[in-house]
Amino acid sequence: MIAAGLLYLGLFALAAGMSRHAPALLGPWHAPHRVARLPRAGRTLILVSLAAAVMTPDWSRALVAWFGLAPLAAGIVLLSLTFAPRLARVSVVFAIALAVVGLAMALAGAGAAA
Amino acid sequence: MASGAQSGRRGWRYRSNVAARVVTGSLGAYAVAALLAIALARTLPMARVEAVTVATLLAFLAAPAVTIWAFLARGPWRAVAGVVVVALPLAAIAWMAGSPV
Amino acid sequence: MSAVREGARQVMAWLHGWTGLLLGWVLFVMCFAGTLSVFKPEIGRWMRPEAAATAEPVAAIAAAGNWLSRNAPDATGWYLSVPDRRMNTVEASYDSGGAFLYRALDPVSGAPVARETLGGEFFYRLHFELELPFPWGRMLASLAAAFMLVALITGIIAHRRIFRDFFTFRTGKGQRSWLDGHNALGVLALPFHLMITFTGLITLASLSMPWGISAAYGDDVAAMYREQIPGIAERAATGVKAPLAPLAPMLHEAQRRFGGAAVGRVYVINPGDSAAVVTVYRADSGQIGYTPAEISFDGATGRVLAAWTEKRPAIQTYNVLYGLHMGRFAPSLTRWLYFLGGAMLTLAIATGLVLWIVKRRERAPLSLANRVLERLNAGVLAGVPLGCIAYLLANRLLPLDMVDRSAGEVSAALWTAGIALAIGAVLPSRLAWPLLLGLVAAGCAIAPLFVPLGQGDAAILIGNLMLLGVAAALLPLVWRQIRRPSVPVSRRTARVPA
Repeated sequence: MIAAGLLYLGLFALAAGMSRHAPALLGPWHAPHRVARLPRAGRTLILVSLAAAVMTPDWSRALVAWFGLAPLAAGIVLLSLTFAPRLARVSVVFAIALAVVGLAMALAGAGAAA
Repeated sequence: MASGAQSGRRGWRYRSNVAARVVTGSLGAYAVAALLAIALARTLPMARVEAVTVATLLAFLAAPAVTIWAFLARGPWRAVAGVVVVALPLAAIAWMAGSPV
Repeated sequence: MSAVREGARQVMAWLHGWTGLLLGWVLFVMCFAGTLSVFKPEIGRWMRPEAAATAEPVAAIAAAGNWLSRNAPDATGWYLSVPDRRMNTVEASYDSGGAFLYRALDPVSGAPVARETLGGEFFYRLHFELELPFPWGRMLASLAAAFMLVALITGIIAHRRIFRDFFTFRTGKGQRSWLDGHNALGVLALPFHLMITFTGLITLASLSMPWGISAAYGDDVAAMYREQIPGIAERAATGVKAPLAPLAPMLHEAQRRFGGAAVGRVYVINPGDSAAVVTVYRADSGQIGYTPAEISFDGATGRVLAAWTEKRPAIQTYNVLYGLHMGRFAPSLTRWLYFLGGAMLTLAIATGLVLWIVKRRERAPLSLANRVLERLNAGVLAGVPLGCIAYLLANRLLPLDMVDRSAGEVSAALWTAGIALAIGAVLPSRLAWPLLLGLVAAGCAIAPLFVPLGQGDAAILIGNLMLLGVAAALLPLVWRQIRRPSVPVSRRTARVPA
């Protein structure tokens, strides 16, 4: 779940980093210095989400799932970008929530096992 | 309208270019893949069934590469030559390794 | 961008178009059927709503074995799939009276369920055999897969701004929109598309690239299979009859040897013969690699003949690639992601085929050849789904006691697809598309109505919801196609770069 949330954030950041889409996606947050930093942030987030996936015990299936989640996340970004950019900003909140919940569950699981 | 037989997209030169590349990219690619499979299956230093598996998998990687080469090479002759240059040593290896049975 | 690079991209774009076009319709059928096959067991349950009984896997196999020994004692082989969480019946392939039969056996009684149907198996076979006799169907599928791989690679090379255009999708702009859609569907799930195409190619390797095998083994192909799957025990029938030992103890022994893992398949070769062999395979759902372990028993006595757990790296690589394609390892979420990827690939093919026409129509009036292609597009791209819906409707409508019922369902599917193809050929595409898609939507809306909504398990419920969802998604599309007047063709006089 962490991976899913982070993946979405990463892809979103990448999209926002593109000058073509930044105004639509960022809306009130749009500012040149932010736009310049987004692509790298996006790529980092994607890599971290990949790492999160392979660090699970069932890493092979998690890896396959990661590759499957990527088009889903990218598709959501694309469709919201095309049809409802404001919705895209809202979905960022959901993605962050997803990542946080996933992290909490993982930590709780590790705590219970320890 | 294209005037000479050699100019434009309908000329015989263009068509033979395309034809050569299509043949190289399809039959040539398959031939190289098959030869690679045979050569590797006979020479890889592992158990027979494992050699065959590795050989066949690599052949499937080689085939599309040859197809792309056939169309990206700078001229139809280079395309054909490239395939032949790769195929001949493979055939030689395959033949020299001989049938194990 | 240097001139050479530009030229290279144009060549790749040209090749991409042709490799996509030549077998595009075959690939559409394969991907459509393949995407549906992700849910093969669930579709099977949807199509057998009466068969709700469940039983322990071992007991189910034992019951199946009992029924088969009474009703198919002279078969050359019984090929059984063990029930699991996804599939509650035993799927049995066996020969009887000279023909190979496929039946779903009730897990409690062992007898075939009331509604004789191929279930999801129809889509699975359509996917790699294309309803053509052996070996032509598989060879065509193999050739199409090779074309698909080249199309994918050339598509990647030809795409000028693959990263910058990643999130681009402009609607309402004719060719540009179709191109954006085609690109998005292809690029967004590119790892999946490459994986599924390559792994699909290698599943048919023994047919399409047998030269490695023949180079090392000559004519003795059986030796290769023995070495590849050492846990099988091949021996000829003796002709001496002997009753089959009980299957349950064999399955328990197999599970013990598999370290408690579940059993996936049970093949009984020459049942009723003194040289019968029972081979038990570990379930494919426990790990990515296909055929991870197997054990063979002497049929008459239950003695272990051979056992094997695959650990050789080369073979395991092949098994993992095979398993990635089959997707049986996938837990629920991943299976839906496979479905999503397959759907995107199917739509990528469809949009590509439409794009071929749209692009040329915007440049100049269509040539005769392209007009034929345009009509084929309507017939195939809408006709294949229509055939599949007819298959599901036939499942609900054909009488239960009809002779050769499963063949009847398949006939319904093929005839419907054929008629749809004819409609597409005869009617102008402006009319054919909304008509055929409208029929698909109508079929999807009707199909869930035949089983009372309360009855049935999750598979039936979800299946019905999906059908209604498809109908709902298609309706606005059909409506728009009916309402829009003839598309004004804006001629592009300048040469459009590829």
